Amino acid sequence: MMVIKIAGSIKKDVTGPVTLTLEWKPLTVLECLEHLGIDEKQVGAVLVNGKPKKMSHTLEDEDEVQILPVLSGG
Amino acid sequence: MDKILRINTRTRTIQYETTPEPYLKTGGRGLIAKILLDEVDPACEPLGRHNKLIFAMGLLTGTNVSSASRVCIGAKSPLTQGIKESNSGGITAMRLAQMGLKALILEDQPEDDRWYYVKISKEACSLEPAEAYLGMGTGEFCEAIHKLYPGAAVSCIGPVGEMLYSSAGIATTDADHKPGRFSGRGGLGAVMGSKKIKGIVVLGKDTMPLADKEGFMAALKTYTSVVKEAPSTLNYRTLGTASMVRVMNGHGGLPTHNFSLGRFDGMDQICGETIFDVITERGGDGRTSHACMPGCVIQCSNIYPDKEGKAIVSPLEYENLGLLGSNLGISDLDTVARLNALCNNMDIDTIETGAAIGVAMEAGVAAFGDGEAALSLLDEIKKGTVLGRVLGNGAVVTGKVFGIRNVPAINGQAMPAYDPRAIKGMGVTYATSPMGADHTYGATARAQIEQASRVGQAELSFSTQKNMAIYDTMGFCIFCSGAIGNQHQLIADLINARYGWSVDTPWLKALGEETLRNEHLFNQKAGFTKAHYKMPECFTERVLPGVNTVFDVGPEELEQVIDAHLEGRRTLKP
Repeated sequence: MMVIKIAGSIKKDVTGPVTLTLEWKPLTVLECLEHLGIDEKQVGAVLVNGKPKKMSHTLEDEDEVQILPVLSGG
Repeated sequence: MDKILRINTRTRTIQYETTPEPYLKTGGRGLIAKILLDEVDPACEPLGRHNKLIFAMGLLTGTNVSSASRVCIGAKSPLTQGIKESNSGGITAMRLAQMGLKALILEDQPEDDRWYYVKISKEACSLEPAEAYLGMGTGEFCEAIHKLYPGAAVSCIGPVGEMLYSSAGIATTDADHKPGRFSGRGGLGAVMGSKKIKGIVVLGKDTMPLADKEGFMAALKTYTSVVKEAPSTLNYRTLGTASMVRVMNGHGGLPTHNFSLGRFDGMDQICGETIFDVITERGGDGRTSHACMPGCVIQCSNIYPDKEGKAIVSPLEYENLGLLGSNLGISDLDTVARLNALCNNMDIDTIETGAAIGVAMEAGVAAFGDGEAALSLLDEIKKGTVLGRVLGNGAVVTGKVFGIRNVPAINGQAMPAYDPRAIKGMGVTYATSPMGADHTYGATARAQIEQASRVGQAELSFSTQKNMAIYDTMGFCIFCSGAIGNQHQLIADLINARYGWSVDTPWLKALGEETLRNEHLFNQKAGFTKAHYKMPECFTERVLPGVNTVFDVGPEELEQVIDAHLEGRRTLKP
């Protein structure tokens, strides 16, 4: 199983944070986002076990995945 | 914090003045707009004796409120010929506020060739000879000053400010006493250079008076918790602004090859995740997270090291990765970091310089992707060769000299790293800002909106501009906005406890609206008309590949934004 923590304001219709579990499959971060119906462009960063990972990173069983919002500028 | 320190750079007289009543309940960007409107002829020449350079403290600056001590610097801009405020992190504003200052005004112009730096401590100020420091980069100047005054806060110019380049900025020392923070935009460094002031040096620190200490601590606890726990803060603290590289590339809005493309083949090599990995792997001086001012809980900055672990630059962030990286076709991170560091040391705006070199590359001066050539061009800028002076005066001058019409600039100032055809709300902000193309005037890239659609972008930019005007008047960092959003009561509670006032959220909104109105009024008096606030044809007529669109928010919608600000309207439409 993987624990997925989605910050609020990432999905249009979801205002607050959401935590859910997902049965593990060898998905990349990008595939995981697609599976959750999340547009990559609405995601500022994905932390896997606290470390930022690229969209091509393959998730492992027991991973904790945090999906963070886009920033307000640089 | 109730004094205004006024220095006449011609007569070298120094005066402490009691803050006039109309200035008491504003600060930062709002105070700069008021002082400029009251004291500076909007039609004056920006590098002449009638312009003034103003450092204004935000209403919460100097306190231990996280991220509330940005240094706000303003003047009439030599780059845009309009009003300019450019703020940055670092410790100068915090220290100036703690010395009891609400503002510092540098006025007039020397009749001789003597240079000075301004030394400020509690109730004391002097002009100290600075000839020995001329030509020094910001790093060398700060090192020399810190040998005399360890731990001093410093804001200074480098050689390009001395040479009056229109894209010269003002550097400010961070919490580690390195000059890594920049009021880079609008050529404010040239205004400081025109007054022959090399730097501002602030000695000592103090605590700020609080009208209601208990109430302040309670409000501070709530505010800190909201900012610290926000998901956006975790992103800032982990990847920092560099996280925007992948996001903007996904939108097709990452400036590439002089804004001719919006997606960069080398994106993966310069994105935030790669920077995190490189910093972690190299260790040494490297830090993936770093605070630019004491007490900041966001800590968006980083320190990027070379292969031996020695710091190259701090921070390496999104705008510079976009303008000095993808816009120039450069995907080697170490080269981008070196370009960034060279700009910092000579104190030239990285956004303007990246855009100017991009225009020059389109003209064939160098090939896109040629990092060594880009480094050489920066050397020309520093040396003051003819080519260097062309580039150092910005993208518009470079375009004119080389006959290139694809110039990413509005009202004389280059666009930051968001292509306005892909991020159209940002395009509205660029076009309607009285300060030229400036993302911080109303950053819309995180909004839940179809970014490449024209629908709703004027309203989005308008409301974001109003929100930012509040933050900039407090001295807040734009990065708090992701956490606080529209929870303005948090800000009102802090203000009330700090000063013993009874302000509410409508008051804050009115303060922001007043600031926007004053800024547009200044430009109107400087000769700006609605015709000045428009997107260049290379963005309204040249399709952005990948996104397959032009900037198509109509001129009537842009005019509505200007009208609404000038009339102080709450809503975009009358």
